[in-house]
Amino acid sequence: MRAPQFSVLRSSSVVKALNVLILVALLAGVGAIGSIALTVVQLKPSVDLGALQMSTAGTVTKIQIPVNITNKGPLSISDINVQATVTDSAGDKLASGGVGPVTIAAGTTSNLVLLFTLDTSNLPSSALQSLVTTSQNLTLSVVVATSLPPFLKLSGTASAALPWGAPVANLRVGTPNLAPYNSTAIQVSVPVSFDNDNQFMSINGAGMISLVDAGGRQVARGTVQLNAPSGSHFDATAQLLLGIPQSQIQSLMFNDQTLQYTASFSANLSGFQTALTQNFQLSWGAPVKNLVVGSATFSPFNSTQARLAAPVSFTDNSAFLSVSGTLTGTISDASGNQVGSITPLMVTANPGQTFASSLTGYVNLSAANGHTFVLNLTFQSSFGTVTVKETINA
Amino acid sequence: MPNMLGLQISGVRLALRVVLAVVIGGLAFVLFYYVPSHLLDLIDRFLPPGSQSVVSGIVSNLISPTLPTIGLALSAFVFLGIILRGTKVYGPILVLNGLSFLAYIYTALHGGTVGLTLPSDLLQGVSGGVTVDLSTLMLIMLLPSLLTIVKGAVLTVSRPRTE
Repeated sequence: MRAPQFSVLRSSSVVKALNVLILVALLAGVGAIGSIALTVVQLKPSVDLGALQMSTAGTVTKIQIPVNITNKGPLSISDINVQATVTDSAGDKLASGGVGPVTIAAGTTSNLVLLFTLDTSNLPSSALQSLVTTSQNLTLSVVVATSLPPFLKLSGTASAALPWGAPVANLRVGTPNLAPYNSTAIQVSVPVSFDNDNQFMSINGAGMISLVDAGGRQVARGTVQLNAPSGSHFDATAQLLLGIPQSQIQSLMFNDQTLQYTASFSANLSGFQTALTQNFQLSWGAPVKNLVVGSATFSPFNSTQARLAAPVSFTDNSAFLSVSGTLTGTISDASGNQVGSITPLMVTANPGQTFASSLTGYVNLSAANGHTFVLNLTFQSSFGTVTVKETINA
Repeated sequence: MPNMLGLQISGVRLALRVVLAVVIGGLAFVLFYYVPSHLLDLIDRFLPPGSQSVVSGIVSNLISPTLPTIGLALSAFVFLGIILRGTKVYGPILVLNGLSFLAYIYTALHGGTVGLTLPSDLLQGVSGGVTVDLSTLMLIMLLPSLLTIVKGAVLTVSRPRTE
């Protein structure tokens, strides 16, 4: 028995039909590859990156990169999605942003804006401080996805190091210099310097400088205007006025000493906080040093009083404060009873000078025979009133 | 007239077939075997100095080691297909031809998903990876192979058998 066979005519028609289908399939494949190639090849010269623009409002900094893409190919570029994240060397997320999903139809041009946002209020303080003061390599991570429908979908990731220059690098608060200001205050000049190593940011704003004494009391405060363009060195001096603290006037007037202070610098620059403290010492020379009242002599004055005269001297050991005032007081005997008064004596001395004069007063005749007297002196100066007791012998 | 596997063919036509088979088979050999197995050597002159190792990594990532072998078999079946066209073994040859093309396309396109890791020294410290989903494109490219297999099967089944 003969095995059943395919009709030769029928199989010939099937083969012919298959030949046509094969040809059509080949043309479809070539067409698909050609479309993809045309779209991809023309894309590179049609992507135009604009200039980076940065704006700051409060704690939020926005970075915008305009991108102009012209699709001259036959396929639309669909679902373009670009998302980027910037992290610092410790892995903290600093900024994020991107664009998409966007579709660019065949034969059209699309203006995209890559938008990145940095909100310093959301950053850990340690990250913020590091970002301001430490140059480092940030990491830019990008995730990209797009498709050329219906033929292919593309997704990719990339990461790269992004050099970041610290906008306030090498911040220094130098040792303050002192100078006379007036009779009640000293001018303190505090040098401040830093380097703006950042490639994008200018530093503009006001820095605050304050002086705190050893007891934690703020004794002076001032501002310094910061203006450091990108890549520049900033150097300025803040001028503060340091008033002589009245609570310590008694000690400061008569004693040399070393004063301990802390200078604090702080600035809030577009949400970036930076601060630095610097301890320093001031050598204080006493304006009335070695106050000496010599032995007193008495001479008759009238029927009830004798005139007292005693040499008085001191040295103005201050480097910049002049002494100007009036010396007055009372005279007591050894028992503490008031027996006379001091004639007001005008006192003036410039820094480094020695004042010498004669202190005069009047003592009751009955006490004039005593050997020991106590002068209760009150010195009223331009920067305060002090009292001192001097024991003299007749 | 000589009989070649059920096909009556003159010596001249056979000679012409051999020449055509050599030319097209040779082209297939170059395209499907020689180029993928010697790609680095071929593009070396166009590469910037110092980038050879980086490009070598990318090429080895993209081209499967079995691809040249499949291409060699493919070239052989293309050669045989031209020589043996119309003979009683033409159907099976077409099936093998279609299968080898199918295997070649599938291997070249990594099953429809091509993944590539960018070495960091390619683009000044940029590292990353790209994945391309070519499933739809691959199916379109496989269609001619599948239809060729069907055609070969039809020819094999429809060929008259002698008792």
